[in-house]
Amino acid sequence: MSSISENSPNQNDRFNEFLLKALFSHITAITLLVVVETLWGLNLLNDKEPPKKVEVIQSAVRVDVVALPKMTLQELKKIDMVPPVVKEEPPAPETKANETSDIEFKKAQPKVNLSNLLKDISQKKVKTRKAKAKKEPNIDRKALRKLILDGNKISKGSSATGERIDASQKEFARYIQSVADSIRPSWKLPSYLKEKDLQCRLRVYIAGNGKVLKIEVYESSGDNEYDAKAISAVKKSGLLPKPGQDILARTTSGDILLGFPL
Amino acid sequence: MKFLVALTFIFVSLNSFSQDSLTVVAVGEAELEKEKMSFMAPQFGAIKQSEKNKINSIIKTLKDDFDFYRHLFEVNKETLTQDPGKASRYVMYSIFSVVGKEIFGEFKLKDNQKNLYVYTDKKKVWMNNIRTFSHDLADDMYRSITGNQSIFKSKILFLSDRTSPRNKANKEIYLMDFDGKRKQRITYDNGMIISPSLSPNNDKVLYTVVETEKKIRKSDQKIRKVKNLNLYLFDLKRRTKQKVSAVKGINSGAVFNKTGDSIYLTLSNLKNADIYKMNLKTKKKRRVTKHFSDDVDPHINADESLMTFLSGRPGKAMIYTMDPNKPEKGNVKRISFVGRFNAAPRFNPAGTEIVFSSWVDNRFDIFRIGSDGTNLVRLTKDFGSNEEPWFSPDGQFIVFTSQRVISRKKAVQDVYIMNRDGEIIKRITSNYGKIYTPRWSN
Repeated sequence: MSSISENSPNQNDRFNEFLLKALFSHITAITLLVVVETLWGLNLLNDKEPPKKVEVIQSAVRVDVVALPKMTLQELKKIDMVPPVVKEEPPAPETKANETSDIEFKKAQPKVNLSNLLKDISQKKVKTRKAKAKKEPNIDRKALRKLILDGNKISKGSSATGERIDASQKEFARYIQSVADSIRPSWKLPSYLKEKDLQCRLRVYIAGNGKVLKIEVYESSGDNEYDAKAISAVKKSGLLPKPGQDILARTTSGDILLGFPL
Repeated sequence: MKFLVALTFIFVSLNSFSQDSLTVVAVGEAELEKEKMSFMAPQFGAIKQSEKNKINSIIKTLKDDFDFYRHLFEVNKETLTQDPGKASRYVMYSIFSVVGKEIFGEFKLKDNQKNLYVYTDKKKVWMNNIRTFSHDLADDMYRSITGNQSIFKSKILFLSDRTSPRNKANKEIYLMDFDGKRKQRITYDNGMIISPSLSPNNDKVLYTVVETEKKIRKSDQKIRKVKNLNLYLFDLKRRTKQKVSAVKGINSGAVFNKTGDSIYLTLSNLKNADIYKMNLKTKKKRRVTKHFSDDVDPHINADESLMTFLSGRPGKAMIYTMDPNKPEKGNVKRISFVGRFNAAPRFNPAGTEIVFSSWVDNRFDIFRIGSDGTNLVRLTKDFGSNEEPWFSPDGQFIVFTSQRVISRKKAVQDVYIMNRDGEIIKRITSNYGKIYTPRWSN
């Protein structure tokens, strides 16, 4: 007992000494990193740009070419890719029932219970089906041949990522695709900018009514005019599609990056 | 000590940041934005009225030229007297004055968005060749805006049967400006000419003539007439021609290589048609394709690294590519897989696309496909029978022939120009006989 009591102050001192040394070495290491970061412009501590998980969404369209195209490029360009805005009809006004004249007579509903159900089942007549003669499948051979010969049937592709996507993520992905579809018709460049093969990304904050609250240049193309054209495309689009309640928090907090072009 | 431990944990925890999740959605490629272009009425010094009329034609030619690039510019058709200012991105000003016996023009093109003059020049006006002067000026202005050469100084070579007797199918070679003006006859062969081709510096023309030769049949020593397709080279400067290849059968479909010292052509002297490369000086030939099916109609890309051609190897005429500098085995790639009959595959100047005609719905229509076989698009439809497409030197336009049947005995075939997306710009020939095989200069 006495040996333990004699040793514990020593052990405490050693522990404290160890802790001090560990803390000192940590502080020294971090100070060194900060100095190196400042002098050489590195981002070793990840404190300047917090890493963000960025997910790219791009809809995929699979085109099966089995014959020469039927429509020309000019005809395809004229097809309106943006879905028409469906005006919500105002709800029909509720009509108040006239209490004095309209008297509703409700049919007496029989009570449903198990014994009644079983009674109904036992009383049912079993219908025997007559064996039907096998008919040849009713195939319109002309239509089938036309279908086979018609090429260029566009089938909706899938943006498969190999991960399970929950319902809200799906809704968010669908929503941001509709935002891109709304902006695309306004996205135009003069030839001298188009040839430069530039890319920029804008971070947009969208309110519940579809209004664009804020636009930030998240990744500049390096050309001010290019970035300005991208911002102008977003502004010219006016009101964007309204986000649902489930994803409103994400749209207002700027989780959407618009890639021009990717 | 507890304080130190706590401090340590706080310090470590400061470095762990929560990660945000952002989602990028692609808006995609931008559409080309048209820039408005206006022309101010020219200002004149002491110039005669007849000369003023000629000078006014300069402005008209400039407008017509820029109108070809309607996918880039929205040209104001009216000549303005009031400055449109920022309502028009580009505005052209001109002042003409007499210096001695010559007329000089001062030209300025202003970019109202950047608020600076992108083009200024003062030069002598070629009153005797006002069209060439106008096209040169238009090209200079186009270059100052885009940095690229335009089509305004280019020419189109074509065949016409306008001088052919009724019972024959003779065709001669003609040359015209890109807009169809100033047609001039080149050949006087009085024969059936087919598949012309211009050299890289536009000073020579290759073409094939269907010629009838008299040969004595060995079996009975009787003289018989034999048709042969012989290849000729015409020098446009010296106006002389020489026979280049006359082996038995077909010597046709010839195109120059990038330097103009060799040609690729179709020969059929070894039973079936194959493509050969021939040195024009030494006449030495090298066989490029070796297949029991017919391989015809070669076209080479700008750096001679790729050749496109038609081949019947899959059972019907399909488009293929290969490196003409390597042996055929393992080097041939099939590009087209659809269409009953494909014809006339031609590269764009960059070598990234091939335009061709294909038989569909009882006529020919024009299609465009990537050189790797992707992105097949249709360019013409319900526009007569459209054939023989050829890219412009800047790759933005395609010239082609379109045939319209007027009656059982009469059909009209003229040259049209469309942009590479299939928007028809204009017809550039009319009442000049039946036109064939237009070829855009380099």
